[in-house]
Amino acid sequence: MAALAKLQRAAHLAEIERTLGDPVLQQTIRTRQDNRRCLQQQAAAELPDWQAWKEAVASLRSHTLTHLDAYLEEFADNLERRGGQIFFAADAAEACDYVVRLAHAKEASLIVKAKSMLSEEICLNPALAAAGVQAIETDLGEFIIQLAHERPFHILGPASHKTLEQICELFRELTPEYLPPEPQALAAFARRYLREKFLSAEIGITGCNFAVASEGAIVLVTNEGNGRLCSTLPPTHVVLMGIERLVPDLSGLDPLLTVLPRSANGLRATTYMQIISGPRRSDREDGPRELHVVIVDNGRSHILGTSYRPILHCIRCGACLDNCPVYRNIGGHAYGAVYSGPIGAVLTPLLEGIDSSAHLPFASSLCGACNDVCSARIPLTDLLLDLRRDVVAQRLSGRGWELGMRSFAEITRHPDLWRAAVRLARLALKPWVREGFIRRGLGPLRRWTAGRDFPAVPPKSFRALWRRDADAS
Amino acid sequence: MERRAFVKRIRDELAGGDPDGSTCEARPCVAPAAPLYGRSVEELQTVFLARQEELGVEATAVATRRQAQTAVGQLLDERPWSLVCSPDLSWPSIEERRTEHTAAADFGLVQARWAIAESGTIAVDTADGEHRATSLLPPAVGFFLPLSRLVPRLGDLLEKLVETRDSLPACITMITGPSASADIVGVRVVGVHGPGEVHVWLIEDE
Repeated sequence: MAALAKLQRAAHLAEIERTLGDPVLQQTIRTRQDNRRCLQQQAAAELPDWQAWKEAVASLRSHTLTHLDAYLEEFADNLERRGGQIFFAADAAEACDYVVRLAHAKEASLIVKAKSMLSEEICLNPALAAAGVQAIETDLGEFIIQLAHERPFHILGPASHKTLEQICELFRELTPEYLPPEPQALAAFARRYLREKFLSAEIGITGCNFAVASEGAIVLVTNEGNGRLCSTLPPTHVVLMGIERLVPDLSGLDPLLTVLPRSANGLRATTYMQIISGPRRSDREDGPRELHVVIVDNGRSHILGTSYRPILHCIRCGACLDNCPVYRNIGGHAYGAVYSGPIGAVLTPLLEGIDSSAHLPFASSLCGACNDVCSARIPLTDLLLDLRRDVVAQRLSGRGWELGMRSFAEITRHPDLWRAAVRLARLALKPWVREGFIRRGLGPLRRWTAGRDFPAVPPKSFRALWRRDADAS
Repeated sequence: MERRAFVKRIRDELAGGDPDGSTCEARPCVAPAAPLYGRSVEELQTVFLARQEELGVEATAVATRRQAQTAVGQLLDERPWSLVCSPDLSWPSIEERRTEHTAAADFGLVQARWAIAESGTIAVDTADGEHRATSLLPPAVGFFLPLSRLVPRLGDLLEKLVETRDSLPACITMITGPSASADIVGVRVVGVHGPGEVHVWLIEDE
């Protein structure tokens, strides 16, 4: 087991411990998850053919990715024709480097940013800070976690784990004025504080929900208005876009924008959905004078060539997080990466390399709730199982684990050995049994029992009970 | 990375999975065909107005543009608003309150391009001037919406855009209700960055 993997896994387990031991956080996650799920279900039920809409998203995403090279070229040609500029970034370093160089060229000292998971993925903010450029997050949730120096807890609600008191405390560092612990007042303060930033920033950075190949247009799906401000007020607008965000044409937006808001927030439409095709056309218009689209690969093209391609169908609705029993218990930070929940458990090992996140595919009960709610019908649990196979094949699971599993397989294949093992286990494990469960196993068993409820061997086996009842009748 | 090399990398990966990865004649027919509502104008209007109420938007159907202007005048008299921005809408009684400085305006008034009944969405675009900021910076915003521009659902609006795609404006914004967020403890608050107050006048004879 590689040292890095061990370290990551230890951090993962420590974060799980911390989350499970925090009753306030547990309650927060549950309430938030229940609310979101309830809204999502209502919105889906309103459409008579919800499954057909999701099927449409799935087939559209599959088609687009199959022809991704052609659609990318078409998008680039059309965007350039409409006055936009494109940069192709092979990895995070190239993407950050381009934005930093652009910031220097524009002599920018302040950049306003709308929520972009890709920006988090490529670690753009630290890169800008190192170059002496201040980048301020303007999505209310991102603003909060930027102040707290944390990762997003949820891809849609980055600060969904923060309590009112915690948010109040963070905001108090920015102002001497009294802020009551009340959502509307805190939001009003953020509006005032950030409005000045919007008006003075030289560059606005947003993500990109979809990119329309036939028009060279990017689509932003937002609720607060900060995405609009970032793409309207600063003279330069930079879009960070993953290569897989494409959609062939405008009509393709129908299923995507029908399904995404419903799956994400349980809304028929988000407050703002923008279709932006190039910078302002004339001086009579407002909006940025320059539009730069940074198309980021960062490990995605490699996924295309594997059986994991369907993970790139994801439209980032977050429904898999809201329906996951594991996320419900361990929360978003335990995934140790930008993307959490089932999507994160699949995507992170594929993007960052499985050797540093070999534990993530195991952070799932494989119950399949994520498959059922996925907007793009991605078979998430199949992909998780495949990743587990990869972990085992690459012998990343640790020697003790491997030995334990191999012995278990051997024992279950031989009935006599099994019976003997059960009898032995009943006696040998007795000292570790507390209230019907083995609390701390020995050897390979220790790793298993540390994170799981392992029932003690019952006094009588099923076979013994069966025989007894059969004799009695 | 240079464009050709960037795309080639993707093409090479795709070639492993699909032999004709670089052709794309057949774009799939994607959306379920059945319309959600009948297409009678009255029905669309009823759905649209109901959606506005759910969203917390003050929506009123008026017979003529003149009535809409009168309604705006009344609203301005009731409110402590002194500055209005409306780059493409003007008539004598709002002229005295008009400002060019959008960031200082109390109220923005915009001509809507399209609207969607199903979701209660209003679409504006940049074809005629400064629509991005007018419907975004002021704390309150109002839209003049001709009834003839109301379509049943998103797919119908996208069809209209496809018809005029050669002159696609730089920015089309679809707006549904007031600016909203639930990022603070999951409680919905309005007016976070965009307008918290939205008015719509649905003009029946246009």
